[in-house]
Amino acid sequence: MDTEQTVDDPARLREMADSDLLLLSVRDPEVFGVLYDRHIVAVLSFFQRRTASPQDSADLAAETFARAFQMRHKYVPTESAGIAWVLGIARNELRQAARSGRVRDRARVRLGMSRIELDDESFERIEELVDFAPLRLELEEALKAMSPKIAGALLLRIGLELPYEEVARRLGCSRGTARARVSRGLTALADTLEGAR
Amino acid sequence: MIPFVDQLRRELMTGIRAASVESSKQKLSKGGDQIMARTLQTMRPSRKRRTGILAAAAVAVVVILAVAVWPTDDPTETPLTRAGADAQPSVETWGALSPGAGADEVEYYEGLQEMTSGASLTVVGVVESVEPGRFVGEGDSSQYLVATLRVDSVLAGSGAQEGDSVSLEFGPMQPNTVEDDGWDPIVNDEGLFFLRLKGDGTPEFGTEDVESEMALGVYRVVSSQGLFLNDAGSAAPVLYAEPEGFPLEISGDPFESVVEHVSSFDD
Repeated sequence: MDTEQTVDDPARLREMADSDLLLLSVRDPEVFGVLYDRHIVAVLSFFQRRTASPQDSADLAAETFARAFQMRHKYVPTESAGIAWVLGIARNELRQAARSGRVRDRARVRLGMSRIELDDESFERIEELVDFAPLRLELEEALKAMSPKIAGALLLRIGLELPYEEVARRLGCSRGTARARVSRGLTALADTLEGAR
Repeated sequence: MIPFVDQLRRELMTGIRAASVESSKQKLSKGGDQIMARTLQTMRPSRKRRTGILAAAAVAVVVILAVAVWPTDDPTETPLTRAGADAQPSVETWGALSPGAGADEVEYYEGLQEMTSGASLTVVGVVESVEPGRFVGEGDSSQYLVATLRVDSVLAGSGAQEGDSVSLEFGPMQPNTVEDDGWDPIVNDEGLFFLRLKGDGTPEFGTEDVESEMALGVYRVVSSQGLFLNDAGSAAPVLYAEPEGFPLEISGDPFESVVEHVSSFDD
């Protein structure tokens, strides 16, 4: 791969390996968009699986890609595949967030990117990226240990896979409250299940 | 497609394009500045290890020499115009705050673990503000620059907790240099700071009274070795014009892994 060249053919770009895209993006920053398109869903899933919070996953993904762009000239293809390198940055961001209790935003701010508040559709679609079904038995045990309001919201949303409107109607609360209960419940479950391992 | 994915792509690509334009401008203006940076680097003295036995006297020598370096015949010259031009704006600014500018330093460490043990406090923090500080010296001839540091993690030592703010003094330097408004680039910078509580073992410039220095409750970096900036995810020893020793070996390593390594010393 000659990184001194630029590649204008979108089809050719889409066929290129991650490592070549990263190397090429040092000279042609626009190429970084192809890498983003290829891996944004994987990165969001990575964070959603570990945080159970769509908004945190979105914030972490934004910081990860901003940081990856700023660090791309340090990428060494012999040390890791492109996606592994990006996920390595993602892991660092997650570790930092867990340690400090907040998602960093320095790389994002440095690129002049605004923070994106998730709309309802994005929130639910990110939430749906992770299939919690294999964990259902463990979840049932953990659900017994939490408050009935939160457990009820989780059962309706995760167990019965009802939309938030229906969860809110059955619980007699607002859609926002239902979502908050589910979010708190998922966070508590993540802590419980993580502790069990 | 998740709507957020499209929104984030627009934000990211807009930022990338703006950064690319800025980078092109900097490359065009870099040539002349590089000559100045190289000239300044050749003027730097070599650094030698010092023990603590003559620490008090050495502090005075460091400070006097450092202050002597700051004055300039050119009233338009700022600390920023003296720093390396190959770096990001905030890296340039940090370089101008090196406690070793123009002089050997009192504290010198062979490695991260030794520096962590030697420092009063080791933290990951973010610079919240920078402003002129107290005057010292005969006739108030010198002044400190004070950075307020928000402590995000305490890795070793005592004296502050996560969420606290601590005052960090740089200098002293000429008052007109302190008043220079070119220090803003370091605000919001995150770094790994190895700090010495002033008066903790050695008297500082302008006083021999250790207790009164300690009562101020302000810190300084232990030496030019005592700051690794988080430069887009990489550890950068920005208080050096030319890193050497273990800071040079660490330079460019993932910032988080350096922080984790330092955290492990306190176990």
